[in-house]
Amino acid sequence: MSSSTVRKAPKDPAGPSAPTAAPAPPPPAPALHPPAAVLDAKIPSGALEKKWERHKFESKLINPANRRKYEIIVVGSGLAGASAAASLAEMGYKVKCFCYQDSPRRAHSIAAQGGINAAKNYQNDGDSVFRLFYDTIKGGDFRSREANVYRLAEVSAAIIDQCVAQGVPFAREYGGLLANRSFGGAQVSRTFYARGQTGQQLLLGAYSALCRQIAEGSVTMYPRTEMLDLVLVDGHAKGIVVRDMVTGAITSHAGDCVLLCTGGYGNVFYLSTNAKGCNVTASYRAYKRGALFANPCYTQIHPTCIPQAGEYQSKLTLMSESLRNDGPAKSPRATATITSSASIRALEISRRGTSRRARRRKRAMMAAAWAPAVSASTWTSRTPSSASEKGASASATAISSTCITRSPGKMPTRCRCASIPRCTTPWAASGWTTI
Amino acid sequence: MRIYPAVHYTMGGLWVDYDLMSNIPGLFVLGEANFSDHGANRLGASALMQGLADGYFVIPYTIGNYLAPQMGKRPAANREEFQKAEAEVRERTTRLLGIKGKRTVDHFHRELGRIMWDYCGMARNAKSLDRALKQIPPLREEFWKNVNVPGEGEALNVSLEKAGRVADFLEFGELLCLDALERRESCGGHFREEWQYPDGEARRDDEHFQHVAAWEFTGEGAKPNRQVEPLVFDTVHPSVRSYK
Repeated sequence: MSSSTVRKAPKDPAGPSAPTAAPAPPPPAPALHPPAAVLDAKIPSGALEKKWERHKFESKLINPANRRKYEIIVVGSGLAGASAAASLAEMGYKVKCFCYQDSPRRAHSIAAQGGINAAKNYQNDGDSVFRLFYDTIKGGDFRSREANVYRLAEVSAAIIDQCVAQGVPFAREYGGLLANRSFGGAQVSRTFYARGQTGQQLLLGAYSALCRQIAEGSVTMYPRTEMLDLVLVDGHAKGIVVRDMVTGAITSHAGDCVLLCTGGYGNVFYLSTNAKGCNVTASYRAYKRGALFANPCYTQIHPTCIPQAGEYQSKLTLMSESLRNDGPAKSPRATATITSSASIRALEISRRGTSRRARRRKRAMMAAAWAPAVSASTWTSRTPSSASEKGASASATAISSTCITRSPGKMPTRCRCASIPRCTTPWAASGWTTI
Repeated sequence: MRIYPAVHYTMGGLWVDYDLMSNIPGLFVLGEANFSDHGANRLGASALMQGLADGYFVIPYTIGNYLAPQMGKRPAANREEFQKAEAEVRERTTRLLGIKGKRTVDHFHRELGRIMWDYCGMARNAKSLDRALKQIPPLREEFWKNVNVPGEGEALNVSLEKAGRVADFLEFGELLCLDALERRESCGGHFREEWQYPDGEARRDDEHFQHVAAWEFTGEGAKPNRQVEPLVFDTVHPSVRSYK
C-alpha cells in the first residue's frame, strides 16, 4: 500500500510556479446546509503528550469479576475486529464476533502488502513519536484530529512488540534485529514489514489471538453471518440483526455494546483494490439509524494498478510495491570494490546467503536477455532477434512475459511485467517484482 | 509499462469521538470504518497501524467509560425493537427477491461505479458532481424496479447478498458526491478542480473548511444534514502540502 494519490495533471503547464502566485479561487458559496450543531469529540484537556495517559487514568474501570457479565458484539474480523475481539475477551468480557467471510482469516486486511509504521527509531535516523504524529497530520493535509493522531503515534511502538510476541515474522537484518524501510515518501525508515505479506502475517497473529479466545469459550465466532441492521434500544446501540448466509435465517443478537470493524467503502466505485465482498452495509445501516457519516468524500486512489483488461473485469489488483520504489531482494553486485580479506569473506557469505533461487532467476533472466522476442507475445524487445535462438529459447518461453531492455555488452537491466499485454516501454528496472 | 489508478482506501467513515464511540451511545467504530486518524489522505503503512492500535490498545481502555454505568442493562433479543428491525430486514429481502426484473445486480453496480469514477473520481468539480447527483437517483429507482435477484431467501444466495449491498451503495454514492460537492476545497485525496494552484497542487481552504463534515440521516429521500466538527491545531501549523 502506499499513500500516493493521483490527480489530474495541472491545467496550466507553465512550469513550476510558486503556490503563492496563484490567483484567488472562487469564493465559497454559503453552505447548502448551515452547520446544525457543533460536534464534541470529547478530547481530554491538557498537553498533547499527556492527553492519552491522563485519559487512560481517568477512564472508568470495570472490575474483572464483573467483566464476564457484559456481552460485546464485534462486527468484522479483520485487523481491527480480530484484535479488539481478542483483547476484550482476554480482559474477561464475553464477545460475539461476526464476519461475512468463511473464516476470520479471509478478512481483507490480508491483502495489505506494504508494512506497518511504528515510531521505534530503531534506525536512529531521527524518528520519534512526535515525528510520526507530525507526518501523519501533514500527510492527512491537516484534516485530522491532533489528539487522535498523537495517540496513534504513541501506541504504534507497542503494536510491534505485541505482534512480535505473537510470532509475526517481521523481516530482520542478518544480525537478528528487526528491519525497517522507508515507505510512502517518509524521510525516516519506520516501516516494519514481513516480505510483501505484512497484512497477512499481522492478520494471522490477530487471528491466532482470536482463536485462543474462541477455544477458551470467551469469544463465540459467527462466520458467514452478515450484519444487516443495527438495533437501538432507548437510543443506545444494543444489538444487531444478522443473516446466516448459508441457511438464510435472519436472527437478532443483543449485547451491551456494538463494535463496527467493517472496513471501508471503496467498492462504491465498483472497480477497486478491495475484495469483492467489502461493502458499506454495516456502516450505512448504522448511519440510517442515526450515526453520523464523516467525510465520505475522502477516498484514496493508488496510482499503480494492473490496468483493467475489459468491461467484465470485477476488481483491480495492485502492482507489487517493489516496482515502484524500494524493491527487496536485488541481485548482489559482484563489482563491489573489495578492500580487505574480511570484506571478501563477507561478500562470499552474502553470496552464499543469497538464495539459490535468486541466482537461478538471474541466470534465466540473462539467458532471456539474449533470446529473440517471443512471437506469440506482443512485447517489443530491443534484443537482437538473431541471437542464440536455440540455446535460450526454452528459458525465454518460460518467462516470455519478461520485458527487456538492455545495453549491448553490459548486463541487461529489465523488469518483469506481470501479464500486461503490449508493454512497449523500455522501462529501466527499478527492482525485482515479488509477484 | 502500463499502469492504472484504482480506489484503494477510504479515509472517511462513521464519526467517532476520542473514545472511538459514535454519536450513538454504545456504538463503537474501529479501523478503516471510522474516520478519525488519517485526515484527507492516509500515509503508506498507516492503515495496519491504525486498525491494530484501535483494537489492541485503544478500545480496551475506552470501552469502560460506556460500559461501567450499563451493567445489567442488556436487553433481551426478543424485545420489540429487535422484532421490528428483523421484520424490516425480512421485508427488504422479500422485496429484493420479488422484483424479478431484467438486469443483474452487477449491472447496477457497474453503472454506479462508472458514474462515481467518471464524475467523482480522481478529480471532481461542481459540474461533474451535479451530474453524478442527477444520475444516481434514477439508477437507484431503476434498481428497485428492474433488478433480477434469482433464488430464494432461505438458502445460500449470493445474488441476494450482493443486491442488499448494492442497494446501500446506491444510496451511499449519493452521500459521497454530496459531501464532495460541499467541500469546496482540495485536500488530500479530495481534489476539486476549481481549487488548485497553477502548478496543479491542491489548494486547501482552511478558513472555511478546516473541519470534519459529519452527515446526519434525515429520512428517505430527504437531504441529509451536514454537521461540523471544527479542527483545532494547537501544536502543528497547517502548511501547504506539496506532492512534488
